[in-house]
Amino acid sequence: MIDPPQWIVPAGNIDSIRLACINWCCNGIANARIITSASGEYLCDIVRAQHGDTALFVNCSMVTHCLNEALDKFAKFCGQSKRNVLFYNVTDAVAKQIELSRGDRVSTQDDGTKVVEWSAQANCFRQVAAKTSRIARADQNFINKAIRGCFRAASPSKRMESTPLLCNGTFDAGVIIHDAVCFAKLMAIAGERAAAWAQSVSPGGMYDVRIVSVSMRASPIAVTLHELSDLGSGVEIVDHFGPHARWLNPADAGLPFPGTPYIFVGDFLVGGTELKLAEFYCNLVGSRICAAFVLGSALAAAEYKRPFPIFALASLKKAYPQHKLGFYSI
Amino acid sequence: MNILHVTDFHIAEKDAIGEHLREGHYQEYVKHLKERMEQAFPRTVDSIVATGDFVDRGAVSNFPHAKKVLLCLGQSFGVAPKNIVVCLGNHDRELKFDIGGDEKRARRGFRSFAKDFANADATFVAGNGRAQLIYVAESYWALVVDSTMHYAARDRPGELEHKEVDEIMSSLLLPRVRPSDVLVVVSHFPVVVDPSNPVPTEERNWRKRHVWEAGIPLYNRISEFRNGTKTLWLSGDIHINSFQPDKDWYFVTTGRFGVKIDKKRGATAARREARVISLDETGKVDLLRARYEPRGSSDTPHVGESHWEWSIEDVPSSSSGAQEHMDGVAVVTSPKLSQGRFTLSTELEEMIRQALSSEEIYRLVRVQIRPDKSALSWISINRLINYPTLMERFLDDARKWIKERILGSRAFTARDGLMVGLDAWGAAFAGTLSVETGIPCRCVGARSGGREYSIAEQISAELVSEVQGKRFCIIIVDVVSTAETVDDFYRSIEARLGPIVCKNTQFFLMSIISDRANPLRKEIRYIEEQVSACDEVPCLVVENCRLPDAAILPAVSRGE
Repeated sequence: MIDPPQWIVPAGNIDSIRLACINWCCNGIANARIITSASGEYLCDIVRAQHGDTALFVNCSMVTHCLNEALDKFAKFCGQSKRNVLFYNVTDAVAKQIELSRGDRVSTQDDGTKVVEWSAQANCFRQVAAKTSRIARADQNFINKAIRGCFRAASPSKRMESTPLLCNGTFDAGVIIHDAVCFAKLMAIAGERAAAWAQSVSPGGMYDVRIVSVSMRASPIAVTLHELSDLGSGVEIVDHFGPHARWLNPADAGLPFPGTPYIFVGDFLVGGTELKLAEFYCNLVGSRICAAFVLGSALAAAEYKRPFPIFALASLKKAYPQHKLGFYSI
Repeated sequence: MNILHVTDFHIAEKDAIGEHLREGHYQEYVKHLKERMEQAFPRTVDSIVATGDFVDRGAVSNFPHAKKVLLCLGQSFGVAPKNIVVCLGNHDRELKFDIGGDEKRARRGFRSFAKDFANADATFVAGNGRAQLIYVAESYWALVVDSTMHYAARDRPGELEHKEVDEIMSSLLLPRVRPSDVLVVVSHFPVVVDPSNPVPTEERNWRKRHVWEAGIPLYNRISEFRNGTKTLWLSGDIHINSFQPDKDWYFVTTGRFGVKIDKKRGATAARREARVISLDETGKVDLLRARYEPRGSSDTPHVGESHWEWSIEDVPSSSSGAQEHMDGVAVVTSPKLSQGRFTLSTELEEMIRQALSSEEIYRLVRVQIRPDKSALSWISINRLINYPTLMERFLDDARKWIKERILGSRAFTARDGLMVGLDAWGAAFAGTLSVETGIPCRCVGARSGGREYSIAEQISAELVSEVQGKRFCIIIVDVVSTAETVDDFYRSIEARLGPIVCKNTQFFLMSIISDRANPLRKEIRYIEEQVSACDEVPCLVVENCRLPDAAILPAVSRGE
């Protein structure tokens, strides 16, 4: 089990955690949307690991269920230790269970999301929106830092393996995947953003799409995103479809869902070769890509000139300004 | 598993005429043994265990010669030095140092000798060399215990402290050996001997001088740990062949393999022995003893004055009491040899079999998967994994298995290990399970030796160095058919770390599909335990030379 303090993201005088990560860690990814008593006990450990009486903001995005009495122990512990805890992005069903655990105040924010406060003092959670914005900035800093850590410098600059571009290094998603906590946090953030996009496109849930990835290091991201965000009705990994390898598993092609659009999931988008390979695959099986999610992209989405939106957790230029690209010439 | 047991060479003078193992004669001696054994036992010997007293009375200068004999024995029986296990006997010490309290120096000659055998790989050592745990073959461990320590006299066994027993259990056996694995305990002095065996009446205090009663607490602790699984304890020293079943144990001693030369009486006439202990795949245990003794009319007691030859004893035990036990042994289920592979759960396996039969997941194709091999069947993991709830079920079962079988029962922590996902699906599962178990994860493109992946996706120096520092490594892959991808991965690591260092890490293998009976399957003995969601799914793989030209049987994909 991962050490509880590692899940905390500090944001000024508040700490934040993502409940989906806690559930994933405690219950497995298949039950990452459910709060169980194991999640509740682990939350107790996290609060114990906090310094002083810093307030804890629990982001409940993508969490859809809470088992009866799952948070009772945590509620009791927070009450006894006079800890201030605020649950935000809470669904109605989860809010009800959290409320049942301690009977505290449930309120609705301006954006329509619910929050539940467990506070030892009155009015300790003023300006919730400002605080969650601060957490969002802390999340972005965390993403940028994680991506910076992936950069593997090349000196002198060399041609990228898949694209005729010259660069002074590459980003290796394997570094993120190697660090379970970093990977889980990034995936939770990506899942939240993907779910928000899906909600905006199809408020009733987006199940008539499938997820596709075409590289090895994108495959954990694809599977995780699918499981965490409940996005799509299935996931396909095309192994190994380029850039310089032959396609070994043609028998895998064309799952029997003709016309079902695909969401492309990748690690880093630089020249866009991987995205085009995925498009080719989707066209081959009689379908198309309707959106793309990546950890980082070198260019702005519009610059790739694809007929679908491209979402990146971070701009590679912002995350690592020293990253340089140029055209490769013989 | 066939183990050749030899003991007590007692090489005093490597050129003495009475010495069977003398320079210029030992090759013949070994050759004849091999020939007779081969007639009676036409199977290969997998391992040799030699239980000490290689030299006589501390004549450590004879260790190089003893090594030649043992290597010759190994070569004759086709056993590599890494599968020859040796233990120290009371004669193998330089007693003057032992008396002076320098136990390490007293054993210096033996330790140098042992370095050429499996003991060199025994990096699992407890109690300042008191015990070594050697991973000899798949699911087969040898625990070599020095039964001479803490008693500075030639003629009796040593002591064993409780804290040493604790250390042997906690640092060697419990973390590494599963109760169901084959375990052979190797000590020079026996802890138990067949009471019906005749003992030399002229020797006073025979029991005190030859039976290692101090080893009983270790025997008790191992018995608890093994929890009913049969365990073999091989010993020497007493120069008598003895077989003593005791609950879940078989205590075996074998007569001496060399001559003990008495300066006054010359070489003794007692026969020489070697023994094969056979634990076969079906679970039967059998013993076979070879004797070397004088033949013909001039049956003089002195070696060299008579014709001696090897013969195979039909009844493998000398005493009638033991024979009754022996009859039982043939039907006793041996310590497991083939149970090192498991499925994650029956429900999941049934779900996969149902998916394989109901969807277009298993197809006939012709796809070249390696330069020399083609697949005639293909399991679409994309389709399989998208079978309703299958992926969630697999991940859930895999998480539980890792927590119970690796982190739970072996007392490993998550930080002790590494999860390596091979190729895309392996990487996908490893990444997810890493968060659930806390075990760090690496993704490696391994198919076709990684040649189909970018350089950054192949085995890196960073990965190799990380494996080196880990106690266990879980390899996760979608399908294991011929196991060549797994083997390529392991061999690449081994090539960079060396076999000895590589053995410090226990390797586990997890897959969705496994074809255990594949005739082209690589032997992956270094895998500690293999688990799959669905085992014994035939994956048709043939060598390209066995296939007709593409003009006759074209490459077929997508099952058209």
